[in-house]
Amino acid sequence: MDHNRRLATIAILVCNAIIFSLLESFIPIPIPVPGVKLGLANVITLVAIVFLSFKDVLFIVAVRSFIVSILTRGVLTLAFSISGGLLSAVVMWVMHKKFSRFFSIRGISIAGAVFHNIGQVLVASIILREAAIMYYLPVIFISALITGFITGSIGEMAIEGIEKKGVLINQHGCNGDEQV
Amino acid sequence: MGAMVMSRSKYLPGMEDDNKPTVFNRMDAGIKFLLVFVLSIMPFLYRNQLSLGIICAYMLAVTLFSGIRARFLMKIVMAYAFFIVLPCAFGMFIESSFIFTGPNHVVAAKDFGTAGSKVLELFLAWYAWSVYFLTTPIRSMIGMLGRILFPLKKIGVPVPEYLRLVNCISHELTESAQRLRDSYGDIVRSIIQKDCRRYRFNVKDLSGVLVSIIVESFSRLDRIQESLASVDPRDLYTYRFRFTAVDALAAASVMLLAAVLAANEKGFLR
Repeated sequence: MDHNRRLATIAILVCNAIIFSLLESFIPIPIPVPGVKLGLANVITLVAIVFLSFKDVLFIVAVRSFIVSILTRGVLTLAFSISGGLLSAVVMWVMHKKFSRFFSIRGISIAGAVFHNIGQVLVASIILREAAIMYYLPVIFISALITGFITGSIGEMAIEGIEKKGVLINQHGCNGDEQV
Repeated sequence: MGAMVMSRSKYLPGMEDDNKPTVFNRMDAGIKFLLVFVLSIMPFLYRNQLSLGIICAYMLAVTLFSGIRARFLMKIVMAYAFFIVLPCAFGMFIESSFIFTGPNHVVAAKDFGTAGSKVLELFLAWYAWSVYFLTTPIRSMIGMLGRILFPLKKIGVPVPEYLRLVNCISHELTESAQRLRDSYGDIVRSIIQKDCRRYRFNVKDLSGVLVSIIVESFSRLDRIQESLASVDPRDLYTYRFRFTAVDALAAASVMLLAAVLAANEKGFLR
């Protein structure tokens, strides 16, 4: 891919990720659980993992986390957001590139959501120097299964749509059916 | 959706920069960064409860002085409560449930106090950085980052490229949000306003809209590509260091705060 085209693709995906993160705050969740959100930006991470390089995926997650943190939740959430985001991106990348035969996009997304939460809770316990916050892990594990499934389903449709339109080429050079 | 649209202001949303620039807007971005960094580590250095109270009072004075919108600050406080305080309180509650059944009641009570102090310390750091980002123009931040990340450039990291991209994202974001509001605002609003009992249906509807947004956004690929090619990274480095009376006053106030805190820790204020 041409250098400027690659940068333009990254810019579009980062913008979408930020907009989805902001949009998310307007979506009512039937049972609000503290520390839990839908994680719509994960859809963009999934798209990036399929179509872009590992370095680009990490850049998208880092910039999205930075901008969303300072726009909505206060800059110190950056530590939680970026740690969870990067950890989940690495896990999803490995699962997609090495074990895509065993995991669908939905499965990868669920794993990403779980590891996102693990990263956040670990950082929170380190910053607060308080291990008690770990007791919260089971609560967010259960929610990660649900939110990961939802974002995975959306991601699957988005990847299929982009491939049909032919604007980006899958890193594996195969179509969505083979990938998923 | 209306609140989702990015401000076209050169500041981040939440700062009243249009008519009444405050004293913090006039400060040098680099000096302000340094002072906020010092302020954000202060709460973790001092162990005395009164020291935390003094830092709180200083932060309150800064808030009143800066003219930041109360609504935006409330959002920061609510986010902090939702993401940090409640999960932490939940964990403490579960932990204390185990401890209270045993002989260590006193230990549990002491731990609650310690955890409360930690939560307050983190909040003060959180707050200091929020004030920084609310009162510093985006281009100044990009320019300053370009200078701070100078060592990375030396080892071959394409910092100007990344800053060019960040600049492009900040422009594109404003346009994307506006376009989304025009194209999808009503649809998204109707989906979100549906009854919570039909949440499953909501998700299905929302998925369709989100997928359309992603796929449609790639129609701008060529235009963004051209726009990126036309930007010279050197044009982004508009930040110039300047030290004014306001910067001197701010630095003096932080030094005074540090001196008062040191005196308190030594026991001179008690």
